[in-house]
This record gives sequence, C-alpha cells and structure tokens, in this order.
Amino acid sequence: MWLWHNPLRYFLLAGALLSSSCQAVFSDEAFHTDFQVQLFGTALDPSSTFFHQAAAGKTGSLLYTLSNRLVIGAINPKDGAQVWRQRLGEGTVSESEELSKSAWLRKSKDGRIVSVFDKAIALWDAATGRAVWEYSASVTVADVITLKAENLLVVALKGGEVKAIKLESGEIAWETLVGEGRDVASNFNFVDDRLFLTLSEPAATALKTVVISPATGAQLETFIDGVFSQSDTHVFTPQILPITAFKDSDQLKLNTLGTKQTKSLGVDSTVHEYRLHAVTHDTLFIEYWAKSPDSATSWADFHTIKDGVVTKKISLPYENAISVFSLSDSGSGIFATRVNRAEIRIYDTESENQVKAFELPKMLPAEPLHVVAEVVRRSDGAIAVRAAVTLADGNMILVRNDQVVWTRQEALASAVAAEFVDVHEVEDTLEKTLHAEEASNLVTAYIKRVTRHIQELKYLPGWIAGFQESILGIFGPAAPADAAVTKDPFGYRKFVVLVTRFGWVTAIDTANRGEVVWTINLGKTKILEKDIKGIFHFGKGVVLVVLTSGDIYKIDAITGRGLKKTAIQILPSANVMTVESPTSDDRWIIAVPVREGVKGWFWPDDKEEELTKALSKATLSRKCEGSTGICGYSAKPTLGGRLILTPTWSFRLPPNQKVVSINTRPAHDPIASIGKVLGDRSVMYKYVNPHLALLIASASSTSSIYLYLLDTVSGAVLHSSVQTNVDITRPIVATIAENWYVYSFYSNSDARGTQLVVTDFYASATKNDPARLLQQNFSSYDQTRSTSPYGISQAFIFPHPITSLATTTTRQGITTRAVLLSVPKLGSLLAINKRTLEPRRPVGREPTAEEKEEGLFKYEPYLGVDHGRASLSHIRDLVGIEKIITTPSLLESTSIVVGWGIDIFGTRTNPSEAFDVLGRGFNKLALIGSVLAVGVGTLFLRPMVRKKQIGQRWAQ
Amino acid sequence: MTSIPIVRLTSLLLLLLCPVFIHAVNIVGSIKPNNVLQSLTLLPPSMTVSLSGASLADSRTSHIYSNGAFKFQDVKPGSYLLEVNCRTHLFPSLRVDVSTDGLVEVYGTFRGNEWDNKGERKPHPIDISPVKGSDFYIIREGFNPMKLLSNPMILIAIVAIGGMTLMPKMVENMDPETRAEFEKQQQTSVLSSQNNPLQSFDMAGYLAGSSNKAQPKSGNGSKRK
Repeated sequence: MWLWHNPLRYFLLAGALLSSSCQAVFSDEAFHTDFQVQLFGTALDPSSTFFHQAAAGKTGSLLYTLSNRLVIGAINPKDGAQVWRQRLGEGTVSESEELSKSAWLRKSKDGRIVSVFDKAIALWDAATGRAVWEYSASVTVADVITLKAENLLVVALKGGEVKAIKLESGEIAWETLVGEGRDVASNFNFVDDRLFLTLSEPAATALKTVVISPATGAQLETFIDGVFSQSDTHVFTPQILPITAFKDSDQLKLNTLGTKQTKSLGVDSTVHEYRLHAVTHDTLFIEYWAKSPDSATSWADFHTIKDGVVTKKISLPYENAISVFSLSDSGSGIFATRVNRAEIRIYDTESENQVKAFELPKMLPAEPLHVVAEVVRRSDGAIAVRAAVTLADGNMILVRNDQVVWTRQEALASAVAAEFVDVHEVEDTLEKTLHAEEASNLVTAYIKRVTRHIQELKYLPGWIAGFQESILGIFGPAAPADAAVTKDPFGYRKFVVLVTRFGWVTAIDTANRGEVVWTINLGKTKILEKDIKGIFHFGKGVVLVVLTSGDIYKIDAITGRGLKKTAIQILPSANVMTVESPTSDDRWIIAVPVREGVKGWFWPDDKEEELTKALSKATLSRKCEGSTGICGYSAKPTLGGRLILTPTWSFRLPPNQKVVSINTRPAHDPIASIGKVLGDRSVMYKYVNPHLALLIASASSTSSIYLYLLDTVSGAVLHSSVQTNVDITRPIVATIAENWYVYSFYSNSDARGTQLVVTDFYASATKNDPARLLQQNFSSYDQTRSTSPYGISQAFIFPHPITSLATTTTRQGITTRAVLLSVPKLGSLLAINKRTLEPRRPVGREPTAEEKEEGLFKYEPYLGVDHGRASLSHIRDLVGIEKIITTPSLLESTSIVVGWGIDIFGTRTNPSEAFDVLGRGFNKLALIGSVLAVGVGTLFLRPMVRKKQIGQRWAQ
Repeated sequence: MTSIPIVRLTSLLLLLLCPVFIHAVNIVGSIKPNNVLQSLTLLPPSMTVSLSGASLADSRTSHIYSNGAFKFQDVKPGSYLLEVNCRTHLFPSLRVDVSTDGLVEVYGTFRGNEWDNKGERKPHPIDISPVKGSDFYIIREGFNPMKLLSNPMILIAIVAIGGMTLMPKMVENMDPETRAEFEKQQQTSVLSSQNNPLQSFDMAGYLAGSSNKAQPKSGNGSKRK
C-alpha cells in the first residue's frame, strides 16, 4: 500500500497520463513558432526609474524600473533587452489607484534594490533579480530608507511604527513606535547622520518631526512646528535633503528640518504640478508643468540650501510647451536634462542657458511623460547624455545624445481590449472573382475567365522563377518558418489589434514575433477598461473601436489608417455587439441599453431592411438592469439608427446571488460531428445549440457558485448545477464551446485546492437517440422540459490557480479541442486536451476493451499536469497573461493562440498533432534519396531477376 | 501630565491584544538541492512558494531567496496547503497545520485524496526538494538505423533471411549420413514440397477442370466440384 502514498508516483502517473494526449512543444519548433513580447508596463514615476550599477565594482549600469502594472526589473540600456523581472503584489491592481503613492523602487546598498508595494517590502539582488528577503508589514508602508553605515533598512509604517531590518538577513534589528500610534508617518530624511521622520498629527495642526537614532531606534528629539494646517498635504521630498516639503492649494512650503524655518513658494497647484529632485544635499531642483494639456507649460528652478536656508539660484526658461526634466550627477558635475518632442537640452547649475542641445532626428511619436538621464562631461569638455524617456503613448525609449537607440512597446502591457484580424480575408480576392463568374451567364462567364487568364499570364515568368527556386529549395536546408511572413500559405499570419489605456490602437503581427505593424492615436489620453465597449472585427480587415462615450473609430486594420470617426449616443451601461447580414457582406454594431424601455442604437444607420432581416430571427440578450440576471429582447430597427426593443424573456437570479460571468460559445465554433461514436459502434448525439450561454453566479452567504446553462433565444434553463464550499474571492473562470463547458474555482471542501470541472451535453441519455436533433425545423422555442440536454460531469483537482480559460478553435472543428489555461503562478500557458477532460472516463476501474477503443482511460481525480509537456509556453516566463484569444488558421490541424495582459505570448498549437502539414522533421533529402535508392536498386536487380526467371523456365 | 494615562491605556490594550497576536506564527523553510536539482541557481528567480488557507486573505506567497529559503509571516491558526510554484521542477505538496497555541505541524499530503489523509510528519523548518525536473520538449525522431535494427519485426526478418541463405550451405557441409537422414526427414515432413497441397496445386489443371491426382485425398477439392 505504501506505493500509493508515494508522491513521486502521483507525479509520474500524471506525467504518463498527459504524455498520452498532450501537445508538448517540439524542441525544434520552440522559440520559432512561438513569440513573446516581454513587457514591464509603463514606468510609473521618475523616482522609481533609475540607472544603477548591478553589482558593486562592475562598470556599466542597468536601467531599473517599476511599472504601472507593478512589474519591477532591469533593462539593459545598450539594447533595451530585459535582464530580469519580478511582479509585486498578488495579481491585478485596480486601475483608479494612485499606484505611485503606494509602490516604489529605491536603490539600496551593495548591488541591491528595495521595492515597496502597500504592505510588502522586498530586497532584490540587482544583478540576478532574486529576492534577498521579503517582509510584510501589518499596515501600509509610508517610507523606507537604507542606512549604509548601519547596514539597515529603516521602514516607517503609516501608523507610526518604525522598524529597522538588517540588510543581510531580513531580521528586525530594532523597532519603535512614534507618536503613540496616532500620528501618520510620511517620509524620512537622512541628514548629517541624523534620521528624521516627518509625521502629521491627526488634528493636523502641527508638522511633527522626530529624530531617531539609526543604531538603536531611540527617539532623540521631537520638533513640532505649528505651520502645518488641515489643508496641507505632504509632498515627496528626496531623502538626502535637509528639508521636508508640504503644500496647500497655492503654496509649496519647504521646512528646514529641526527648525521652524519654512520657505513658501507660490504655486497654484490647481494649475501646475511640481516634482522635487535632488542628487546632493545642497541643491534642490523643482520641476513645474501644467496640469491641463491644453495650456502646456513647463519650467524649472534651481535652489541652493545653505545652513538651512533655501535660496533660489536660477530659473530655467519658461516654455509654452511640454518638456520634462531630470537631474543627474555622475561625478563630473550636476546637470539638468530637459526633453521635449524635438530635442534634448542640458543645463548646468550655473546659468539659465543650455550648455548643450541635441536635436532628435525625428519628432518623438508622443509627448514625454517623464525622463531619467545620465549626463557625463568628458575630460575634453564634450557632453554626452543618455536618457530613458517615458512617452505619453505608454512606451519607453532610450536616447543617446541625438539618437533613439531603442523603443520598448510598453504600452502593450496596458491593453484593455484585443481582437484578431485576418490578413487573408483582404488578400484573398480570387474566391470572390470565381463566385462572380459563377453568378453570370455562360458566355460572359467564359469571356471573363479567358480575360482573367490572359491578365494572369503576366505572373507566369515570376511563377516559373519561383518554381525553379522551390525545386532548388528541396535540396537545400528546410526554409526557416520565419520566412513565412511574406508567403503565408497556411494562414498563420494574423494581426492582433490592441487598444491601450493610453488611447492608442496598435497592431502586432503573429507571424513576425509580435512586431508592431502600425499604431494610431485615438486622441484620448486615458482609456480604462470601463471606457471601452469593445473592439470588433468588422470584416474585410476593418476593425471598429467602440468607446463608452459613444465614439466609434473605424480603422483599416491592415494599414492602420483611420477610416472614419463617428459618434452615436450610447448609454454607458449599454451592451454592444455586432450583427452580420445573412445574405450580404453588411455588418452593424448594435447597442442595447441596460435600462428598460430605452431604445437601442445601431450603426451604420442605413439599410434598415437588411438589418430587419438579420434581426428577425435573433434574440439579443444582455445583463438585466442591476445585473440581476440575463434579459432577452427582440429588436426592430427604425429610421435614424434606433432599435425598438421588445422584452421576450428574462432570467433573474435570487437576491443573494451575484453574476460572476456570462460565457457564450465563440463566434467561430463549428461542430464537425454531431455525434460521438462509442466503442460498441453506438452513437451518443451531442446537444448542438448555437445559442448557449453559461451564467455563473456566486453567493457569498452560502459560499457557493451556481451554474445556469441558458438558451439565449427562448431563455430556457437547460441545465443548472451548484458547487458548495467555494472561495468566491478567488478567480472563477469558465469557457464554453461545442457541447461542453469547463470551469475552475477554488474549493475549501475535502478535495481542497483549485478544481477544474468539465460538463458534456448530449441530446439524450440513451445511445443512438438523436432526440430532435435530426428534425428539419429544430427551434429553440419548442423545447419542452423533458428534452433538456443530458449532462455528464467530472471534476479534477488542479495544482495551481487558473486565472483564464479558453478553447482552441480550428477551421472546420474536426480537430480535438484543447482547453487553454493561464497559470500565473507558474508563468505558463498550459493546454489540456479535451480527451483528458472527458467526463465519460471510467471511475474506480480500468477501462473495458470497448472504452479503450474509444480512447477513454481511467479517471484520476488529481489532474497533475506535467508542467513541461502540457505547457505551450515551455521554458518561457510569462508575466500577467490575463486573457487568451484563439483563431483558426487555414490548416485544420492548427489553431493560433495569443495571450495578453502584461506580456504578449503567441503560438500555434495542434491539439491532434500536425496531421495535414509536414513538420520540421520532414527530410526532403531523405525522401528523394530513398526514391533514388529504390530506383537504382530496381535497375540493378532487374537483369538478375530476369536471368533467374529464364533459368527457371529452362530448368522446368 | 495627561499623556501618562494614555500610555498606560495603550500598553494595557497591547497586553489585551497580545493573546491574539501571539499565535500568528512564522513558517520558514528552504529548498534543498538534490540529484534532480544540482544547484539553486538553476531555479527561475520568479518562482514562489504559496501557503493557501481557507480564504485568500489568510494565504501567503513567498519568493525563494538566494539561499533557497522561504518565509511566511504571521500565519494564523488553521490548516494550509503548501505548494511550490515552479515551472522547471516538480515539488511535492505539503500540508501545514498551525494550532491555536502556535504549534506548527508539517505533513505530506496526497492530492486527489481527502484532506484528512495525511502523510508522514516532517520537521518544521521545512526542507523541500524537487522530485522531478520538467521536460518541456519532444525531441523529433529522425532516421536512426540502430533503432530500426532493434525493432523485433526487423530482427525476425533478418533471422529468417539469414536462415534461408545459410541453410543450403549448412546442408552441403553435413557429412553424407546425416545429410541423407535430413533429406529423408524433410521428405516425410508434412511441410515438405511433395506433400504440400499449396505447392503442388496444379492451377492450370484446376482451371481446365481436370481432376488432379493429388486431390482426391482432400475434401476441399471434391466440394468445389
């Protein structure tokens, strides 16, 4: 019995199970057929982005950054390649949060950097990206400071607790409570071996500063300056300055630590923003810019601090344009770098005139948001600059003197919507020409065809040349798959069009390693997930971006040209979908408002008759008002682009249940076989219904989730099930395709952990019973309760949390499906064949011969996925894949998969192996060689055989 | 001074709160290299260890530090599942029980069995080693003559061909007496050429309809007529 309890056995068993039906990656295809765009996200704040030496004594520094997606890491400034990455926090961050106030990255000692996010502090090895230690505080962290002499990291918590953590071990050296837990700590300053902590009292009548002994944590002195008023807020102050800054609506106040001296600078903070920079303790540099982009202004001031007195030294020129500043000191003097779209200017601390200007060869694609720069004055007096600029389009560029060295497409990490666009649909005109020929009468068709053939003669020389080439190519090495960019016979080339939070639309090419094909600006500065209704493929290589505001952008997805911008009136909560005409190429988008009794909209607002035809048989469904369920409507278009909506059905949840998600079958989801042939040659007929919706609802009071399978035409509940003991705070995800759905949740039951449940639906519980599937007029309306589908379920325990589920799609639907899982804890995209997730697997016994013939194998509750073999992303480290989209290629065997979120990962997968295409292992030379060998052998043996036959005849 | 009673109050409050805090314990452990994992540097820096409790708020995640260690701070009493999230190596899962008096018990666990089915008890500073490395890729099999030769069907064929070519030579090399005996044996054997109906079947004669002298013995032939 001990054998059963050997964990190794489970792993090996799981490995054996999956190797039978998994789609592992071939070693010669890995890194060739897949691509990954490794992204950090847009740099959050200039104080959390810096050049820093990776290890003490090493020359050359790396660029460290903390992004708006809470990814920290190092970039090689030479080529922009990623050195390492780590993700802070446990997953998604709400978009509205002001992250720069709760997350930051700082330099520490001995090639270490320290990150803070909310309550978590971590020290990282700057060269390898490995954690040295982590510490999680009980409340939010206010500030951290590295004390190099003491080898300590001192942490101030918002509540006033101060803890010193040993840099080497992560152990607490000392801790103290400042202000009896009533005051709110804001920031540290370290001046002349004295550690100042600035706090504000709850009544906010005084600015309070406490001097703490770095060695023991003893509170040495407390200063209270009665200048801090209720409306004042703290401003981030560089820790090396002997001042602390705070502000009210029209003053920036600089208090010299340990004194009552406060200097006020008049700044209208409703109009202008400012940022304090310092690289030495005696120079303060303040950068100002306008809050509104319409009245773009920028300037900066140098102040000197001497004996606690702040005096303004010089002012850099005021400009009515956006420019950003950075202060740097690399041993050869302090320089301020000013960057705008056209040039980089360098100023020193002595004069208001620039000491050097570098004009960029091309205007930057967007205005700069912030910059970190390193300026060096060489021994011959020449000035060189290296600047990492974060642009308003979300991307980061590195400029060396007057050259843009690299661009990182970091905006893609902030995508809010993505959609595939088929490149072939546009190029493939032959099919349409042929259809046109068919439609006309015999004589004209003949004339058309002959003229077309004559026209095509001009391609003949090229074809012959190409033919020769392909013949010669047989003898050469196999052409690399990357060459398929221009010639794409298998339809591997798709564009993924993404809308980013920064208001740009970008297309990437799946056949060219995710390279950006085009990018255009929508003229919005910020698009959050709630601001976008969706991105819709509108046929013929056209995409529509629909915003909540009602703006519609029509974009040619192949060239990236904006075709049309229009606006319709859409209620913010409306559901937007596309409708295709059954007879012509026409498409519309329609918006169904959530509020009852309000008319809907459609666009383009012409061809009402066509749309009436398209909508006559359809039922539109959407979440009911207040998200209490799903409501169905029939729609009738009227003039002026309005839709009259008539409620046809509604499915309301009980009051304690909340909608988690509504999942529908993919738009392209063909079912190749309506039945499943069993081992005894009988057939189980699938429950085929194109109008399926899976509604998942959760109830926190009962810790349960409820699954309802609905028919979206009639509103009938076809199947429902309940899962109890569910942790509804963790992700609950589902995918539905063909006649089955798969969902995942975290269970606190006896079978603890993430569970993956699959349910298949058949027309009838009995074999060979197609129910009403084969009837001519099979309608959703005449479904009686007795004909509800027969569902079979099986649940599996999965070792890791799943944050996203999807299904592969192929052209005809013949290929077995694979369920795709995003597993962020592993950083992998896994694929499990539907044959493994088969609810008819025999439980508690070995399969019979008939079941084996059908491909069933014994049920094992633990779906111990062999990370290696089931992984589509193999060794790659994927960060933050939140959504998975799939599209068919021209080959039946192959589905194209793209995952997006932070990283973008794309690959193509063959769930039933590549049965219709020769793989890389196909050796043309060996084939020709063996044909030749057989030919030579025949020639050689022929006389021998003939001689023998004649000899036999004579002998008889 | 009014501040003194406040200090006393807060310290009293802290004392009162103490029994609640004291049972939140730290759980520590480390990854130990073994023959599957030669060095800790082979592990991806992003790998984590997670301790999953009944709710997400009770769950903790720790990175693997450069020395292989991991640490979960302030773990409340309860029963937890400890898993190593690693792409490149497979680790066993463990069950960690924290009792209300702060005692930490670590057991092996068997996924897919009920939660109470515990394995052997393990010491608390947890030492955990991988059981298997991940094998990401299928090596495409090219043409391999040795592999072809090791196929049993091919081996049988080779032996058969070898026998066919060698047998006449062996018969030639036999001494006359044994050879005569062997030939005699072959003649009497059922499978010998004379008695084999398949070999002696006169196709032309059969098609012509004439009866064969060897045929009468077999029932088959008569039936066909």
